[in-house]
Amino acid sequence: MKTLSDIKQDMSDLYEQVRAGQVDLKTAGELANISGKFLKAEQLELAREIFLNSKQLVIENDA
Amino acid sequence: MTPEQLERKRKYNREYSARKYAEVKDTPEFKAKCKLASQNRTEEQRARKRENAARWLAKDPEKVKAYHRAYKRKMYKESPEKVLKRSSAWKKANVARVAANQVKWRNTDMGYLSSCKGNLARQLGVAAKDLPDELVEAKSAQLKVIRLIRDLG
Repeated sequence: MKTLSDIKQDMSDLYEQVRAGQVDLKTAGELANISGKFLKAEQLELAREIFLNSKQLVIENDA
Repeated sequence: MTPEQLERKRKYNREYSARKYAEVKDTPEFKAKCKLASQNRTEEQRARKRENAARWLAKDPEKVKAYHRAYKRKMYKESPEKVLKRSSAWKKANVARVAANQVKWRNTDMGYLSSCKGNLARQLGVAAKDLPDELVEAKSAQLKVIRLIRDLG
């Protein structure tokens, strides 16, 4: 699993390569989409954490 | 007078005026004097001032812009209400320029980053300041690539 810094670095490299015309646009599009999937997974993790934390707070408040 | 002597003289004068200005700039008398001079300035003097400002801007735009940014920050730190009041008045008076500036801002890297941050915050239902910076930056980098592909293709 890639970390967020890896994705950022990869995307920066990809951007430079696409600008220089070293990568096919279709391939670049696929790579960007795959990074989107990784990012969604990270977002989901974050949303889960936020949800669990808020739930814990509510329980604490109720008690 | 040789060029070296002239340069030395100019340097001394610059330093002297800077020293004098630092001494008096915060005194009420000096402020009153400046205000009066500003009120009594003729149209010719105003035009000359504008020309000088334009000449400085043409000479070194980055330096002048940096100076203005620093001045704005300083003013905001000293009296935020005053700056906000002036800013909102300017916005009301220049609606078209505000809209144009907004469009220009949105098309910059910082503008894209900011809009990406807002979208992520809305999706996750949290405040933008609570979002991890890494996530925002990674998402922004991905969107930048997608935009470039769209533009090229």
